[in-house]
Amino acid sequence: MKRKRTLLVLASLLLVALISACGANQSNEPKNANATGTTSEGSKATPESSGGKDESFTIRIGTWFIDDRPFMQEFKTNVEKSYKQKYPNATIQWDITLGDAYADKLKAELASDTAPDVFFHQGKTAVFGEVGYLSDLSGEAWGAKLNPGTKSAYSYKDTVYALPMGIASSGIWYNKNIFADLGIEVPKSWAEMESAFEKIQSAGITPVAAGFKDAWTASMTFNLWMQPHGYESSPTYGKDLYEGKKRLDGPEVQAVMMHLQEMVEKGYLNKNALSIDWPQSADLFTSGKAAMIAQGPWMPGTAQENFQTKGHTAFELGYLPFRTEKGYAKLSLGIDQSLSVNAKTKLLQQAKDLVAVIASPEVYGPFNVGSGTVPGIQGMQLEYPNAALNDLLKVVDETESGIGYEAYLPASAMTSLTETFTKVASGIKLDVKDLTEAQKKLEKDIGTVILPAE
Amino acid sequence: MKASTREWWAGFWFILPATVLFSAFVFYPFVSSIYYSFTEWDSIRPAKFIGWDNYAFLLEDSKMLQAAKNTILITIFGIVVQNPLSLLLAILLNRSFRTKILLRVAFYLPVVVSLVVTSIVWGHILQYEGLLNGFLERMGLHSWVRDWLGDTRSVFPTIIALTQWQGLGYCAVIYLAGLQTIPQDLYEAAKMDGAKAFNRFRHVTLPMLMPATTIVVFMTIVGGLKMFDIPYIMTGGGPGSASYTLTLAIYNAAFRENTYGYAISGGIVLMIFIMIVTLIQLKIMRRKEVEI
Repeated sequence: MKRKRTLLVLASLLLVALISACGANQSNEPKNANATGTTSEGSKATPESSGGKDESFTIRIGTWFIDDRPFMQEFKTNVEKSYKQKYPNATIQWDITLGDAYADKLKAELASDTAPDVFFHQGKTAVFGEVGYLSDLSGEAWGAKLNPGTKSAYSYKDTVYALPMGIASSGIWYNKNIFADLGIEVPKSWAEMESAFEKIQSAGITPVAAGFKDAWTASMTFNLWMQPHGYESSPTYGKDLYEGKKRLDGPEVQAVMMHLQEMVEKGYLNKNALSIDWPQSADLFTSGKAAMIAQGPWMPGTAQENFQTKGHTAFELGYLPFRTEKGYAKLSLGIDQSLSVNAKTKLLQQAKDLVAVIASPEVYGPFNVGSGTVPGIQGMQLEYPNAALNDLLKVVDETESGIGYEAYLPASAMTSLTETFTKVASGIKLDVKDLTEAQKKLEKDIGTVILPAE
Repeated sequence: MKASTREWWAGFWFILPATVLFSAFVFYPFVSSIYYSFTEWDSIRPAKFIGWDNYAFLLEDSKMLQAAKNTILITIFGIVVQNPLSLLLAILLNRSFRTKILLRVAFYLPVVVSLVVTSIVWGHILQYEGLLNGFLERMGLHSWVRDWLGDTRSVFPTIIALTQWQGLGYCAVIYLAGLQTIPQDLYEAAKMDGAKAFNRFRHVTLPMLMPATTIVVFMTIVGGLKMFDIPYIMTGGGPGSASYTLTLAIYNAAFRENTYGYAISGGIVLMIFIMIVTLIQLKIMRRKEVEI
């Protein structure tokens, strides 16, 4: 009986130990680090290490976008190589979760104190900064050189919390060969764009390739289109929506939806726009079956890959922005990846050094060239081997740009707008009630929005 | 120590692990979710108490209402179409013929094969340049050709058809098991009394299958009300909100729109609805079983 009781007590202890182990922080402390302030109490304590450079430790970095693309693998190698120079005995553990699941996983890890020491995130600087998940990086050398136009991506209440990995501008990519063959000039207004659509369609080519099965492509296309329409009506359009001075069922959104409706009615989009994803739409474009596609700066790289691997005939890509009837264009500059240090890391200095390594020209530069993005760190001159990217950078230089209006909206209102957009893309006529529904969501969830830094 | 006390302690230690796990992973999350349903919460910042606002907005939210309508439609289709079809299939598969085993496997296959795989295959069949449209073109039915999953008019009927196809084999197997438990002498006695095939089905097969029917109807209702995976993989609820189901709308409210408090309120309403419907269904079916 005594033995049984002992066994039961032991089993219970084991269970308790297992449960507590589940909640423990998985960060590895340096084996010979002279740690100061070692334990984290609540969210306030920030342990630091001042260990020597020959210390042996494993540092975790969380990300969702490191895939098999050559420039991504090059980035990984460059990070490891440069970090080894600083910490020869350090090991970088890449916690890669591709796709949407990463954001949910990161939130759960941050809430349970098991997040990586350094992690990438998208558009979460303000909200993570507000709740104390991020370390203050204001004193870092690269912090003073950040492009002020990306302030909302790297700071919250004037404290630097993140390194923006590059400024991306999405827009319309077009097949220069088709345009030249049909004698089409680069459209400078919506009317010119429509006449281009007509000429392309008459030549038996689909004017625009769309892959709206991926909701993000529909959302991105809509936002790019909205940006000039919104800011033409008011230079503070995004903020006006937030403050209730403009409405989502107003003339700006209606104009974009009506343009889309017209495009669908005239057959300017591929018929399967709603049931194919973005790679399939890219195939349509790179195979020459469609003349244009609304996509991000990764399009030229994807086209290059398709030319090489899918036997598509290579052509030169050009870039143009969405324009209004009057020809107004405003680019939406976005930061796809921001890099931050976990406020509760036990490897604070090592984590800051890892970010510094990533911010160094030899790592940060090739990453931006590969991604087709403009560096968020000023003074870094890069050469882009792809002519199409130089085309994009030229347009970015010449065109008015700014933070996307959607930064002022709650996610629920954005989802509602995207759903209306896909509904119209499916051939249903615009019902303004659907836009009023988006406005209702905006009003309901306005409290979830953190105003972007200006 | 008395024997009864020792026994009490032994029982205590035995149930402790299960109680701890249940409390940590079921009871506490359930109770706290009731609280969160009354808050505005994005899962990152502290929750803000907003009273009944989330519940009130459920009734105004056209996407939720559309999702509720779709969910009820799927469930009704399950009961009215899938249930009799699977019974018919089970009766056919219960007969003796050469390819019986092969056909049983073929009809059960959709249940075994991963839903992701079947969804991808169906996605290819149903896309604009897919097999179905190719077949319709060859048959001269040009007006029927459409983007089955990209057209707001055809997307939900297509999703319903797929859910029925997917669940048919499973329900048929339950009916088949039920059919094989019916004693043959009942049929023989009925035959001797002069009962024709339809009457034997009406007065012997159907009553004897009531326990199986209870299970099938119960599972169809719960499965329909919880429908998530097929629309999630194939359409994401679109185009617009045409193919949303309640669970998918709740999932999106939480994980895409970061309105966790609102999503939880939707989950609680759905839970109560499922409880009421299944309790009524079980009560009616059990009464029928007793009457029979």
